[in-house]
Amino acid sequence: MKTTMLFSIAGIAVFFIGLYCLMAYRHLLKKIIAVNVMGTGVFLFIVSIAARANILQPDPVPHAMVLTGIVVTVSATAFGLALFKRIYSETGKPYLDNEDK
Amino acid sequence: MSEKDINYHLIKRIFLGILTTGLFLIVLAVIIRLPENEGLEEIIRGNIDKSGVSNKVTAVLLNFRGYDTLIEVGVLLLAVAGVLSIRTADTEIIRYQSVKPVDAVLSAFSRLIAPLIFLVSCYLLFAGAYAPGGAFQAGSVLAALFVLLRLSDMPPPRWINVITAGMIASGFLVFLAIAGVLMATGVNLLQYPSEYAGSIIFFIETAIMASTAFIFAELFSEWRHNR
Amino acid sequence: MSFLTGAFDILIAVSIVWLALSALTSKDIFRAVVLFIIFSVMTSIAWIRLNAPDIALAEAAIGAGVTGVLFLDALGYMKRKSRGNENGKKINTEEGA
Repeated sequence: MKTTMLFSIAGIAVFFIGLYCLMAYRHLLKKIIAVNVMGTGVFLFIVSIAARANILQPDPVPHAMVLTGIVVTVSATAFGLALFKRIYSETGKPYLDNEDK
Repeated sequence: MSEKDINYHLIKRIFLGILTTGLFLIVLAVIIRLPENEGLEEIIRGNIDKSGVSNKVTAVLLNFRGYDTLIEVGVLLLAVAGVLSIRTADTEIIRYQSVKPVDAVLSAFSRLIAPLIFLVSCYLLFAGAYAPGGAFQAGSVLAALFVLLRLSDMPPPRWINVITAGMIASGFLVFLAIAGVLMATGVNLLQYPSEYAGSIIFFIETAIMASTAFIFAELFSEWRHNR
Repeated sequence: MSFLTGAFDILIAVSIVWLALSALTSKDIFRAVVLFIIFSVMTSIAWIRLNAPDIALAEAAIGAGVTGVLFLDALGYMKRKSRGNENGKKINTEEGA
């Protein structure tokens, strides 16, 4: 019980750190890293919930969901990075144009 | 970069920091009071014999929740289609494909280790039925092999143009074809017959592994034979 | 024994949160990407501590092997393109493709 609560809190903390840095920073690569970090935080929370009832025999349905989630996250990251490369090749800046300054 | 800009960014960051900290504390207060719950582990342990494999996560992933995996492979296909349409000649700076590779130690070592990586990925695929492993793990290790070969300046083989598009689409198509055939025989969606469930799952896993490897390698960079 | 495993769990959890924070607040982007790869590896160890070996395998292979390489490739593209723009010639040396 103590291990799972520890990782639940860590997962939520990581999620909110990622959320803050997604909104606060301008560099596009940092935003993509922040989205990945948010996803990983959510997965930490889900898997720690799966281990709550019995940590030696965890619930396998959240494990399958997290596996699907990891693969979907890497697809979204790859697409985001392709968009970033295209933006960088068109404008030459790793920031979006509508930011101030 | 004026005073007004610095003040704006500082105020924005402080406001966002207060907002996220407040949300974090609210969620924390809810999490500490979550009720105890048994989960689905008992039900799955009771039904594992009907699924054809003995690893619980593989059974859930490919049998009990097979529809989610079908959609997941579809999402992978959509992602690679999106990436292929965003690329231009400028974003893919093709490196010099020499006949003799540039770095001797890298090329020698990658040639030494490539069969071992392939062996590990095949082991992960076969062991997915009874031990930790499975199709996506095997596919990502195989994708790491392709990326390693690409990065160590190995020239692409001649047949790579022909088979890449087919292999990328094959995972989703095979899974969809099996689902269609099963639906044509009258059962629910992806309800495997009990005596063939293990073989069907292994066949789908092989298709998913090969397709995932080619998709991840294609997401990284294109590997085409010079026309 | 249980004190040591508890201390190990606390260490892993604290280092996961610390790595996420320092990866996202670092000024150098290369340092951010490398710290993100380390964050993925530590998360893979956390999956093992939570008795999820399948996810640990997938996270170790995908988090460092695929996502990390994708980020490093984007960084390399940024550097090559900025170098090409400064020199005024294309770095694009290809052989007939």
